[in-house]
Amino acid sequence: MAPWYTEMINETVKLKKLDLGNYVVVSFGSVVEGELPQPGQFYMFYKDYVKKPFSVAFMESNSIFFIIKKVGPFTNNIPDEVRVEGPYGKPFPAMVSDVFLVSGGAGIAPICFLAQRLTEQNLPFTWVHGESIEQNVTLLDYLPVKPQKVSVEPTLVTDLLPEKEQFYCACGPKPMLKGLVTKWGTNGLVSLEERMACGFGACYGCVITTISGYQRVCKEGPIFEAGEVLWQKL
Amino acid sequence: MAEAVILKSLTLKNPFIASSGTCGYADVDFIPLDKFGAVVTKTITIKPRAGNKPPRLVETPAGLLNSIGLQNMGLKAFKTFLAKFEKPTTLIVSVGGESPEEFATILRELSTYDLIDAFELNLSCPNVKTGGEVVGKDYAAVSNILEASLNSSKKPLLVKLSPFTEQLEEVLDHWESKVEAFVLFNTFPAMDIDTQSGKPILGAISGGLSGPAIYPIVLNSVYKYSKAHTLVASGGIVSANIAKKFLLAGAKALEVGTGNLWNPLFIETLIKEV
Repeated sequence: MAPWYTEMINETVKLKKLDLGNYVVVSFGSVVEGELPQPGQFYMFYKDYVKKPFSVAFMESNSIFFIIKKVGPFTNNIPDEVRVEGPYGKPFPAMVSDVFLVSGGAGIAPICFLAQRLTEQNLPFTWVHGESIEQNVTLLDYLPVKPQKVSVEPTLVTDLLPEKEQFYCACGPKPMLKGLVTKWGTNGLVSLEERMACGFGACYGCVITTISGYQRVCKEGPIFEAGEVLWQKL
Repeated sequence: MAEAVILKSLTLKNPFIASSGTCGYADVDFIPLDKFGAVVTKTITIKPRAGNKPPRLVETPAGLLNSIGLQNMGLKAFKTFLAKFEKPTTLIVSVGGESPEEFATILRELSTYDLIDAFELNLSCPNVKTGGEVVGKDYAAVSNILEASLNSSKKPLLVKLSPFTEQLEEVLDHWESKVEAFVLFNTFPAMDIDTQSGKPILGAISGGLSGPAIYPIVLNSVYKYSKAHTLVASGGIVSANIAKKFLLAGAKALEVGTGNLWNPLFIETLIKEV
């Protein structure tokens, strides 16, 4: 097997940015086969002593797209040029038909990429997405695949779930994920986030509490079985 | 540069050491550990430690604040791990404990492993008995640990000190001839508060600050003590330029931590540019 560093990117790239108000759609191009990310995986962006993880939202030809919500100094003012590393993290496993996808806010990114791949594989799925405010819904116009249903608060995305529980893949704010688990139980996969320093398993900084102790979001995750997570400690 | 360096008895193929806590048990993927002069493992304690409750990281201006809490597999599992381990380069095992006896026990049991080239004593471990002060808080505390450790170890000892070690000069002067090198310093005790919740951000409340924010402070001490002491500099070496400053200040070798986390290929830059 070739050493890892021929299979991943660690280079400075120019970012293309589309500002949508509360979201920015960010992309960079020129990835080659062998470096292609899988749904659930993320890249670290580094600039001036700040390093941040961002999940892949979709791909178009050989460009990788990210959906980034403005929540702090870095995301409010995303640099024109960053060093990117990745793809990192454990992706979603191979899927079957009729998966139920649930996303909320910036959690749309990994779910959108999964929906894109499912579409390419002709695997039918249902996708519901939740937003906090109506204005954010314009984001959906820019996606290659779109959710079938969208909620805007005070309606919650969990209000859109059918009564009968289904196997799900979900990503979103912690209250949304907890609501999902409360309503449908733990037969599903969740993509989690935590503050990260390295992104590749070296620092043990991004742990969450699971039934088998602390697990690194960057290495054992970010995709976890919902039944593994100790939800009351999240 | 990247020429071999000799501390006292220990020869490194280059002066760059991957610091403890940034490369797992010298087994982490993604960082080409074989390119370092040496690699220091995560700190090993007698019993396994789960580590501190999250959040464990805070981003600060020009620094990284962490409170991992010495998460490690413990001595017994580490010995099992070593049985099948192929080291990538010179291997230094970081050792921690809450008492001189704990340091001594680990050093005695691990001294029999040929693949370990040296030990690094982590004297910034929290001392549970005194309410979380570091075990190497002052000259007397450091001396107790060093006496026990020197009697138990059959390998060279690097001594990684807390930046706030009291009677630092006495520690350096008294123990210089008996240890391989002093590592100046471990992370700086630090914390941060979330203004929205009004609460400390870290699960463990306080942690340690690393990164370029601390390098001028460490540089000051390295410059001051390097004439009379064998020093490994540690603190904020995140660029080739900062690395050069520490060598100019008289450090024999350099520990790199946050720099590896921020860029796993940082070692390649160091080898090329320093």
